[in-house]
Amino acid sequence: MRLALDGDQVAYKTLLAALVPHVRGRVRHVLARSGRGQAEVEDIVQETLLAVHLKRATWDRSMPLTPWLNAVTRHKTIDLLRRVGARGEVDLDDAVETLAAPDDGGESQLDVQRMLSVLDGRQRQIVEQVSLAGRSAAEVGGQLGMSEGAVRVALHRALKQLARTFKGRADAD
Amino acid sequence: MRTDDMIDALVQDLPNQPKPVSTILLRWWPAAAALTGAGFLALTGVRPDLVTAGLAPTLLKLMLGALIALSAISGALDLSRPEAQASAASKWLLAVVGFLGLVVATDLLRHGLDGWWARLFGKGIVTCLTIVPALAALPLIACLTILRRGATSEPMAAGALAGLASAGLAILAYGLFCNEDSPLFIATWYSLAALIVGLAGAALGRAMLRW
Repeated sequence: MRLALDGDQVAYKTLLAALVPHVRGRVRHVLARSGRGQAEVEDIVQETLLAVHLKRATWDRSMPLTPWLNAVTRHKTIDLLRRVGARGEVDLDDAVETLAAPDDGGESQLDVQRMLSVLDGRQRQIVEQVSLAGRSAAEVGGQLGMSEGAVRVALHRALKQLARTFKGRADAD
Repeated sequence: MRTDDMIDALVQDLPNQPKPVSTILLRWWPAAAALTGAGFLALTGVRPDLVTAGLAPTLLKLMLGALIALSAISGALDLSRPEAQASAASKWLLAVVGFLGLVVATDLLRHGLDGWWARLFGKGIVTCLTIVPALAALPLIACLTILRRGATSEPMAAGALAGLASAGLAILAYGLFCNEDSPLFIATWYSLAALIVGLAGAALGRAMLRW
């Protein structure tokens, strides 16, 4: 994480990938303890990853990473439980979804199209190119005729928009 | 969306490094307070007898304001980290409570209980309880807006500390204007004014500091 905060993208990717199983385990544990289905696990994992990314400056470099990560995960999990609790249980839907969806190791309940539909055209193109096609910001910039910096700004805005969408989704459902 | 795909997007966004909350807060929050404080003093002026009669009590007011501001803002900054607990972040406020106790005890020891009623209730109560919150409003909004970049697990406590801290800065300006000099008055009504802003901060924090 320290390397990542200094801008080492390879280290950052390795770190995020290594965090996922830990976060997923904690989310499953909390959901199970509160008697809820596991249908939202991957949503919460992704919401947590987004928060880890956007709030990474709130980690104190002189402290161990785990307490910070666990606090972010707990916050995001409890947040979802509270939102869901506020509109009543939807266990029937969850149960159906769980039955219908085999454990594919990382697909969230929100399909790509629905998730990305909140973004405007350019942002959406950039997120698709960067995440689904795995291109770098420089490559996407060349392809869309934008500077690398402009791509980064648009990508950053898109990620914040996604975080807000995650948050608003349960209320709007 | 697959989690792996999301990681790719986050990695591409890495060069967009967020600044620490404290860096931004310590630049803009005092600036907001200085702006309102200077504007207020430009309108009303400092008390005319500041140097002759008011030096010692004004010093007491400034110390109280600085102590509240420093202890509460360090707590609010602590709480901008998700793993921080409200109880630990608020422990510095004990210094304020201790200071207030000392002020009250000194006053009672020096002047006895005779006339404590008159020393407690001055003419400036309403002024104090309205102007301090009014001066604290802009710094509080600035403080909360910047704290939104943080990630607190305790939005109400963080908001309350932001309110207390902003009231502390407001007291620095108000203390140069106010001519109520009884330590009993200062300890009571200045604290109450700060608590009012703290309550407002807690309510606002609950709404603004969710993430």
